[in-house]
Amino acid sequence: MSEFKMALKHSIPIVLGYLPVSMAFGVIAANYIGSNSVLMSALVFAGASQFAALQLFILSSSAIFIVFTTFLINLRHILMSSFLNTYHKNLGKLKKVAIAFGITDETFAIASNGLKDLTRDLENSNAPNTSNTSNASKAPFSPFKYQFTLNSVSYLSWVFGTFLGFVAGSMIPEEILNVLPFTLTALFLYLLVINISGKRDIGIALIAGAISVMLAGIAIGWNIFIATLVACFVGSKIERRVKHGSD
Amino acid sequence: MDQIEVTLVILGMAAVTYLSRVFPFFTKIDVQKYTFLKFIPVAIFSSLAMPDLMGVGGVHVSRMVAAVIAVVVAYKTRGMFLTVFMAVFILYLIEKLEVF
Repeated sequence: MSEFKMALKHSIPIVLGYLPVSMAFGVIAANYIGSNSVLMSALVFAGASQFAALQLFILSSSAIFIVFTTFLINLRHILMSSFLNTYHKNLGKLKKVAIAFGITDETFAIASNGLKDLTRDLENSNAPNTSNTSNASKAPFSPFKYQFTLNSVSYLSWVFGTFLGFVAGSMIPEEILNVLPFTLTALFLYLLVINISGKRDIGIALIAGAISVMLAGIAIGWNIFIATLVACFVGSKIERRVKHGSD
Repeated sequence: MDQIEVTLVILGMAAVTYLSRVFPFFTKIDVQKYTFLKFIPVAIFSSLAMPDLMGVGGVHVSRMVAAVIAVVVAYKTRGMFLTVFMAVFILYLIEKLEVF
């Protein structure tokens, strides 16, 4: 399967999750900021911060405060881009600029997993023993094509959903609209399970989850940033101790 | 705030958001040597999912039940679509039938 088709397939859960959430955003935002709601989805493309900003617009907060809050909420993308850059570090500037725009919690989730699998498959198919050249693809796997397709489809569904919500209100029955955002939660849980190997990972997940829950009511976005940093720090400490112990 | 001001604020939001996304792609810092990076997926997925299942007020029972089923399906089948579909379907049933 080509990078393009693979990315299309992998983006389905994101689209299913994005459409109802962005529609909800469009419905609510239309009442307060009009067509600027579609503009916000098109330029910012970051769900949590968009809902937070909307709330701040409604509360008549100052412009500086809204921008600064957005910055704090979205600072966590530094961690995601840092991780994904390990797959994209050899790309040209323009390509990096292009894929950076589409890094969200969800595209990161799918891409970090998809790129791991796809690059591993590539290594396997390049192994010297499997020298069956007849069905080996000529072009090497392109992480860029995969990431760019995934980001673009996700982006279009986010902007399109906002537009739908803006023009048509909610056409989907409320009871379905209410449960569809759980698609994204289920997606994160699936990826969590798939990525866990061993007790250390379970420990990291528990620490991160607990901190994130505790801080969720206090600082949106920051809870994910702090929880991830602390859990990763503990993880590398444990690893170092285990290594020293076995020496 | 008038709509022009709102547009300007949105431009500011777009700029600061893009900054966090693009900076790591161009930093000279060699992120490879920071071994803690490899723990990021597990840590982030957990931090993203857990607040949806429990909040300050306690556990969201119906979502928690759907989540437990999702984890079991994910572990047993390793199938993304099946996991996501089952989770949403179970949550829909629970809310529709008002089980809790």
